[in-house]
Amino acid sequence: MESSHYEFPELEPLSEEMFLNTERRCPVVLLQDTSTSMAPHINKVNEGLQVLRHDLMADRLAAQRVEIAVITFGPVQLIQDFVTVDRWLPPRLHADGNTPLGQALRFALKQIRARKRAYREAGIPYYRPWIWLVTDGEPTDSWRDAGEEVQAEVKAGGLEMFTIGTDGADVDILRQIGAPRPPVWLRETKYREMFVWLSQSLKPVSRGTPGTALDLPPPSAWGEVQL
Amino acid sequence: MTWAFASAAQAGPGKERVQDACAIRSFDRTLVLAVSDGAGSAPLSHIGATVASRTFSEQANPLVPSLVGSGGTGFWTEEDAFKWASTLVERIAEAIRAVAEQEERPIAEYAATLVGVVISPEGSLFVQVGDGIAVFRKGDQLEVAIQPEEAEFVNSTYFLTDANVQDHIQLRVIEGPLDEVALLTDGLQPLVLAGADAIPHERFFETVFRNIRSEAGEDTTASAWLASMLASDLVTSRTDDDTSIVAAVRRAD
Repeated sequence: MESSHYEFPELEPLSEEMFLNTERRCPVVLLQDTSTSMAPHINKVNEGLQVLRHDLMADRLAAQRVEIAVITFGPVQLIQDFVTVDRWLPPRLHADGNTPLGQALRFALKQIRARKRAYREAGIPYYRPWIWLVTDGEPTDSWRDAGEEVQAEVKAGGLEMFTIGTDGADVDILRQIGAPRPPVWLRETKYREMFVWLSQSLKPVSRGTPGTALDLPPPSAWGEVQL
Repeated sequence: MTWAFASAAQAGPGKERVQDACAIRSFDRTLVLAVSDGAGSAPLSHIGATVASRTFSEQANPLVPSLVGSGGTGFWTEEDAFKWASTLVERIAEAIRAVAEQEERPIAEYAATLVGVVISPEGSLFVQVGDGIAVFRKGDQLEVAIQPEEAEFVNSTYFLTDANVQDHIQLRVIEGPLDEVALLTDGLQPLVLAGADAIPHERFFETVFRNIRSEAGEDTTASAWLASMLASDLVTSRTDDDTSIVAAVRRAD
């Protein structure tokens, strides 16, 4: 930078042009249940998304590395394709539909595969993708095959699966989908606190110390782990 | 062959200790360069990295003369090269293991990668375990010596301390003299190598090579300049990792 020009007057100065800008990416799918029963709480979810963005934006590297995609169900819809947080405008979600969880999971896996392909083609290194599933009801479609696909991906080390249940969600189903990570039961619609936790957990991940395993804080501010 | 060289290693922003290490040794006919990246998750990896780069620089040269010209090709065959690299990596692993045993610590706490090269007038041999990258110029073109080994995620690589390290040795034999060489650890890699094919960013490498100006041996001014570069916002705003680089330029004989 300028100073080096003075420190080393005889040498060529440093310049922006010497460096590329290809930040590593940490893809996160927010897989959000927007069935009709979510209607009373959807504004809290929307507020939570704003909190998530705001909190991640305060961390310069996380804002450039964490990529958010928003998928809602049902019907299954790609509301927001992967975008780095610094370019993300959180959507306003509406609750109106059933709970096709199986279809939603398959779609999320498909989006992640496509994103990883795009990273590879662009030569952008990436962290293990996250799926952050929030649901308040039992699935209205057959979810077992999709659950097994998720489990295969988790076991192969290709996915961090998080399951969060509330109201009428079936913890046993979430446990099967999210194993070995137990589901978390959301307390008192604490979506805001939940998204703060998500943001706080993503920040160290996106700092990227090679070889580090996930070391997540307990979610006690917003939920109870369902062991 | 006469070489001028420079090197620097810098701890990532907010880190107390740099876990990368560099080593350079210049002999009559050869130049030996190495960089090693100590695993962030391994508490004693800075020692692992130092032992790795130093052992490479000490052990590589004595192993070279026995290989030059063997196989009747006038230069190292791939098979010779692999034997050489395999022995070398074994010695490095042994050196790390000796330290671990003396300190009564698990060897995994010393986990580190390696990128090294032995440069001779007849040819050069690059060897690598885990991430990091070597770039060289021979004639007009800047080229990556060894394409990064497939490791799908950012936070996983191979280490000299792995039990199966022999399965993850990569090497490259280049016949004839090289003109310029740079080795760097993975912290700097995404900033100066573009795309999945790791294409060297010429503006970076050319500037680094041009700023090495001494006639022979270490250019301490260039090393200081490299250190200031690694510590500058230009680098630290783009990576939180440790960064290190060794660069060498051949002078006309």
